[in-house]
Amino acid sequence: MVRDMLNDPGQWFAFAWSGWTTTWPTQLLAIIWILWVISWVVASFWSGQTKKHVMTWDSLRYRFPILAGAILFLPLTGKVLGEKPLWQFGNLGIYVLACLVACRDLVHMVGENSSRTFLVERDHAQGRPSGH
Amino acid sequence: MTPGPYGLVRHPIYTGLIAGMLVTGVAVGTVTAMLGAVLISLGMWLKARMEEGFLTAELGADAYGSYCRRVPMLIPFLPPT
Repeated sequence: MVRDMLNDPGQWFAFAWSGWTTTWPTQLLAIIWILWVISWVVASFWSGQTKKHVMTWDSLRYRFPILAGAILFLPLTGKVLGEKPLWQFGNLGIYVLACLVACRDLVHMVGENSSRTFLVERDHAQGRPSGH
Repeated sequence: MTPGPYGLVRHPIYTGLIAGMLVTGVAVGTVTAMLGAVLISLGMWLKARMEEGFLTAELGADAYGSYCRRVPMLIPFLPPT
């Protein structure tokens, strides 16, 4: 199987894009998250440079649970473990939950914008170039 | 007065991210997705707490402390901590 995947990179994509990301309507959730990641990456090209923090031992306290959580959250983890959902919401339920996730994206964007506005105003008040 | 979402919670970006993760975990309905969402939320909460240390140093204990006493950390309308 691994040899086949090495010969055909498309199979890696098929493996990663599997499980709940391929079945409608839960696929809608994956699409919303992907659109959010794309908007985040695109926005990073014109947003202010963030202050770089070196990785410290202290930061591992939050990096480790985020990394472990991200691995568990990936659809392929559930697929590898042969997991079945504990419940099914049905189409309407998933559409309502997808609306909540989309609203979350809105909160995130407004938060980012407010944060940027605050920093620009603070830098302006302190007479230093904008950026954080 | 603190305008916008920063008047509701001190870390609206993390609030949104945590809410989205938890809702997605519940919608998918698998144990790994829900456990993953909870772990990511825990990590975000720890990160927010660590950033509050930086913010206190940057903005001053008086100014940031006063903001912390007025506005809850992550969950809107909860008593500030």
